[in-house]
Amino acid sequence: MADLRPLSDGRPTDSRAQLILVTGFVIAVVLIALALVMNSAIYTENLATRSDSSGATEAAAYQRAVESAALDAFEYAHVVNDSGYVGLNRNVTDAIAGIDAISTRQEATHGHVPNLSVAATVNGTAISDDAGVFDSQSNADNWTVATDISGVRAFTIHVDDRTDLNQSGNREFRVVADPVSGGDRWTMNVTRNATTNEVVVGVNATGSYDECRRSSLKPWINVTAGTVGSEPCDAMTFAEGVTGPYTLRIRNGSGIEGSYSLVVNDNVSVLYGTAGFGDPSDEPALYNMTVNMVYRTAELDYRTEIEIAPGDHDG
Amino acid sequence: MVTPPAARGRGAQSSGHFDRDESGQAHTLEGVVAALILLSAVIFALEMTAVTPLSASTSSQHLENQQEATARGVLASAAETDALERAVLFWNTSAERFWNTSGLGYYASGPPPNELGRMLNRSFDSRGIAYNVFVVYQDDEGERDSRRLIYQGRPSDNAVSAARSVTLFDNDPLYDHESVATGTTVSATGDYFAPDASPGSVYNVVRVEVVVWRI
Repeated sequence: MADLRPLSDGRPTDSRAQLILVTGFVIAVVLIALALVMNSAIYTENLATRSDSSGATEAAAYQRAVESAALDAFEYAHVVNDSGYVGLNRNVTDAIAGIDAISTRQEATHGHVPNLSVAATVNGTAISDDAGVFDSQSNADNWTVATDISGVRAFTIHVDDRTDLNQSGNREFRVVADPVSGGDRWTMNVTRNATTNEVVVGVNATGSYDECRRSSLKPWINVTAGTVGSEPCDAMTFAEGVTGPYTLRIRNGSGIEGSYSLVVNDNVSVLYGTAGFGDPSDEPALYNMTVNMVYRTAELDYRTEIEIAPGDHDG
Repeated sequence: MVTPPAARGRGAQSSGHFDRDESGQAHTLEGVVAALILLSAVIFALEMTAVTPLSASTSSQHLENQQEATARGVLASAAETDALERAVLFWNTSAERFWNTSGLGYYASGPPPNELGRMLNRSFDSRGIAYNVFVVYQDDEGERDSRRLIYQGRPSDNAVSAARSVTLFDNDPLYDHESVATGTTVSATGDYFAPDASPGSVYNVVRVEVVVWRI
């Protein structure tokens, strides 16, 4: 640097030394600020790109896999059913235990420990008729399907031929959900429009009437899913507006021909006394199943309940 | 500019004048050098970059995350449409290997000719991403065993993986070379690679693992 020595006239150069110190200080501050900015940028990017290490993603994927497997196990239990609630419960419990045993071993190799168990099952009754008119076992046209129930799942109706359907008002086929303690009824009727030859599904819920029309010859009516001829029917929400337990009735069962099936959440012995395989048949079935799932990792303890009830609705 | 000395031999006084004039020149030079140093520092600071996780390269963490998410998505989608289960049951019982594979028993030159293969092809092949698919199952001794479904080589250090479990039941059918269900169930044949590992209706639980890396 220039003139660090005293000037030749003897004046000191103190002011320059101060300037150098200040400059050095400023440069140090600038460097520290730069280092801070760079480090925070790198740290932010690190955070932004850090993948999930807690195992939450794996837990969600495992839950989906279990939901799918439990649904298959539930349906398979009815295929190999030995026609009793004890056998059905054993089937689903064994299946879930089998899935648990194998998948736990596989997940454990990745540091994840799952656990599956059947928490509860609800007994139900599967009611179905393969062919003919929808009358009772004693051939009554107006009859009660189930009394004092609160849930119906997988209720499907197949119209064998729309020409067999009665016309509206003329002893039309109806399904009625009638609340035990009074209140709004829910009614669905299936008729044929003589002019357009369409199948008309009318729903009377919460005091208002609406309908869906289809031109298919042999439509499927999925009552609990709310579809007619595989297309959504906005008017149809099963047991809409019905509060509390209800009685499910069929009116004018001879006004339709085809097949139907449904599962209600009450024991077959309560509803029918004994299981019968007549016309319609009433068999023991599970209404639903609840599976407890636990998924643990080093940083996660995830617990959930998975409810399996194929074709269920909230009515 | 520097003023030349007025005359020779003027002694200390004239020498003092000369020093002051020379210091002006030195200050100028010093200013220029200082400016250059400062300019260099600014340029250096502007040019300075760090290798961060998002810096573009084949080993970028960001890329790895994207590949992992894609692999998860493919597996989830395949599981929802049952394409994953059909691919696992895409089994030639007479040759005891997956359909249309060579003697190796796995797909090496391309994806399997089924829906899972098409999904993997659409997601990865066109983007220069290689993948291996393994099927992990429980063997006769109750140990964890693994079989290659697709093997495209040794993964790089920056490979990522995703997995999905599929439960096979005793009545699940095997599929023919056109992905049509055959009348043979998985439990009825003794030629399937995974054994019946559970006494109940469950046949086995297979874990399909996809390993993905950029090439």
